[in-house]
Amino acid sequence: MNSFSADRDIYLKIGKSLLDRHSSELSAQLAVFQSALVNFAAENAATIKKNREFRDKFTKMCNLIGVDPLELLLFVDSSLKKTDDFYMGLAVRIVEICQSTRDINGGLISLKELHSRLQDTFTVPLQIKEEDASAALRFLDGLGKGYETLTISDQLWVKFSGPAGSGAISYDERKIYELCTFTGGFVTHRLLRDNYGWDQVRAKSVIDDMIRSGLLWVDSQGPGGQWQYWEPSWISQD
Amino acid sequence: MFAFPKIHSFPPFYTQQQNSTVRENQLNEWGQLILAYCQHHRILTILPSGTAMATQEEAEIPPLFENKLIERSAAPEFRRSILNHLIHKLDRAQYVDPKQQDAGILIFWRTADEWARMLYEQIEKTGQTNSVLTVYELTQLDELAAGAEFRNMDYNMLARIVEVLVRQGKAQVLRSDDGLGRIEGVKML
Repeated sequence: MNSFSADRDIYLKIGKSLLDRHSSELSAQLAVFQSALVNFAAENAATIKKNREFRDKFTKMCNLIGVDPLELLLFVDSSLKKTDDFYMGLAVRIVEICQSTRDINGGLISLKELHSRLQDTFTVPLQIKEEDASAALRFLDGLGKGYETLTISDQLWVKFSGPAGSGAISYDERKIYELCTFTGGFVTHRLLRDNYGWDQVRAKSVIDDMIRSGLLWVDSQGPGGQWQYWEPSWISQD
Repeated sequence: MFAFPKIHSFPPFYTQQQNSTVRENQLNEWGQLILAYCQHHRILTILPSGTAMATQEEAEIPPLFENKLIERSAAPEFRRSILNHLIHKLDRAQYVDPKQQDAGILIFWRTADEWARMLYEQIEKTGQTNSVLTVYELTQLDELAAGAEFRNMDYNMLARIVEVLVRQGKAQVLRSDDGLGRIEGVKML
């Protein structure tokens, strides 16, 4: 009975080490393959761009081994001259980042953070500069007021307000509603700072947004002349 | 006792809203509130500050544009926007004299046409068509003339109502010859 159990342990160990070796070999092979693909993309950049059939096959190959073809094309572009295509590609990435971080930052992100997040998303050896990110932002101007670049105390920020009329409630908006239920219906900049540690910029951004979409009413007559921002469903509550 | 609507206790109601859709709603709410308040207290004319000028009864009237319980009060410019909305958008108020806004604002919680119909029916019912009635008779001696609805009615309001009847060809007026042209007597046809 004992020897059987010991045998089983040994078999399990051997099995596991075989699996480990197999998977590390595979990922090494994949890495080699990916870097070969990068080189391939760099060498054949012109053909990939010009020849539609060639590009389709290339994209399929990228998908098969888990490489984002957009990234590769960006890489390819950056190694040549930085064209509109390159910035357009970056802009797509910026939209993705803004959307995925919106619920955390309320749609306000500094260009510095945006740049470093952008850099982090690349698996190919592609270095981009902050200026590249801000140049790419200009391509988003055409999409209306969704992406605004603001200068706040000498720093560039990007304000992402999402698709017009989107009913989604952000994390920050939810936090404001939460605070309203404690105070009997309103928030102030001071309350947001004391309870959540939000700085002026973040609080103002959310509050202004919510005023613009009719989610908050302004009241200039709080105690000591302090502005209060009221949640209007209060009117219909009993 | 007039029951103020719940929004009268909502602190931001006293601050002009920045969002234009919300502001439109807010001004409409104020308009409806003013009409209900004036109707309840039988107020026909108010000052730009919201104070009742001419009322048909002598009761104590709570302030319109402020709420002491929540320590809120509409600023003078905001009061003006509210009244302008009532005058120009909702068409339920008029300046007594647009050039002299402190002369007061007529509040039409009943429209001038409704008032005119009531006045005419009252005169008809009491068999006084075709006889000349003075403004004093119409508004002071209710047993003789137009009834309780018109008792103590402010001259400016009565004049607006009579003018409607004149336009409809249902009344003729005698005016003073002192250059002011005040209505002195009315004859219903």
